[in-house]
Amino acid sequence: MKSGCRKRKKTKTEAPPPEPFNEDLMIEILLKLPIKSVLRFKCLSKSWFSLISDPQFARIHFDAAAAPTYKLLNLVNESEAYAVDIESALCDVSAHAVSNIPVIARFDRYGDSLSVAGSCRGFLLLQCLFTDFVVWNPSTGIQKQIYYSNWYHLSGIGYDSLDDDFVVVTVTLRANKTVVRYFCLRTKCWSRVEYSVSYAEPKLELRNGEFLNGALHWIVKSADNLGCVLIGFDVREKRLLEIPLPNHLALFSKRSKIYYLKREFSITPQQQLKMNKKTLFVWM
Amino acid sequence: MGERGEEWEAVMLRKAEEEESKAVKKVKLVTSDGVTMEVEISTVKEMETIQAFMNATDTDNSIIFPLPKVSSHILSRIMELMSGEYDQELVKRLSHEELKEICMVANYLNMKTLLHLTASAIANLIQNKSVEFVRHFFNIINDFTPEEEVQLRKTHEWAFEGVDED
Repeated sequence: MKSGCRKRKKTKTEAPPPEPFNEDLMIEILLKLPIKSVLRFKCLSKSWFSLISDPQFARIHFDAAAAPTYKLLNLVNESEAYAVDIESALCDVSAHAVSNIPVIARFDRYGDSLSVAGSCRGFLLLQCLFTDFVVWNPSTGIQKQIYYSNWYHLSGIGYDSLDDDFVVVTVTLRANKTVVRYFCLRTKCWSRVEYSVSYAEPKLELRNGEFLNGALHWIVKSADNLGCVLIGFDVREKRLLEIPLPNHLALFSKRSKIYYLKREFSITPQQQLKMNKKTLFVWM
Repeated sequence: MGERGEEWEAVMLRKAEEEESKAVKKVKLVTSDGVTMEVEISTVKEMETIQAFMNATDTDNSIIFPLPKVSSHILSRIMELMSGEYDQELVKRLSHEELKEICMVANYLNMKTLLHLTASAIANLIQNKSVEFVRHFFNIINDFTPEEEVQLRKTHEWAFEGVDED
């Protein structure tokens, strides 16, 4: 190996000096790296810094399937937060499984009242005492506060891929109508839509929407309080849809929770007849 | 019977040779250090940059293609990787300089499989390395002032934890 290196160096002096990696090639390599390495390499030079800071790069890096990370965020207290990389945790690379991430700067101000109201594409939607929202990227530390003062029952954050815009959504369930308010991070303003349908509010723990196929989804009780329906708010078209649940689920899924498995839905009725005994329905 | 069998064998052998020479068309690649390498046309199929040139010239005769950016050493390494069906073990045996050069050539010749393989290998290599290691690896000149760099490192402090020793 050593002698090989020396030999090659000799031939190299005869050949023209190697050209630096061009931008396309740098992107090719960066797309295969996890976010932690990419952030570190912002320090390499000014050109790498501007390349990595480009929002266009952030988008394609997130979309690149080569280096996805699944993280579990654990807010310990005002000064500690840990991101557990689920995949490396499973692979038992304990050194890389847990990383200390910068705690949101306003955490001390919000204190215990801060809670997670939704998540989408590496961003967390935090809420503070049912009033203001904070959109936070735990990896980069970037945060944006969104002022909000209306009462609501359901919340979530979705992503409009065509406009490359994040949309914060709240839903207020009234006796005779449903009010949807949404905030686009690009236009920075709230809009309001009213629907003449009505639903009853679900349990507190079911109020964060799941984002899938361009829409935020929640399970709510039907107006007659007999069964459940799945409602979705399309963040691109900005409209509310009702998705009928399979019959056998609609009746007893008042306490169901939605999870999604990659591209399909699953609905878990949280019937705790026995500890650890839950039924899981996968709905595709 | 034995004599006839031998005769028949010889005919078949000649036939096979003829067919082989017909089927395997060769392309002559001239490297930066002036070496001419004759390679099979199937090899060149993966080199989309050359393929585009060949389609444009549309000739049946043997083609000479100059590669002023590729040394004979790197070209033979690429041939090894291709004939080894891009075995990861072969990639691991490459030196850092070879890996970088092959990656650049794969990009220049538009060889998709080779580009993916070498870019992944480089990503793997630098993933847990320090900023200093990666600067040295890519010959990057640090144009930040020391103050700017300290500030930047502070912004993403968590990204600097658990980095391998150089």
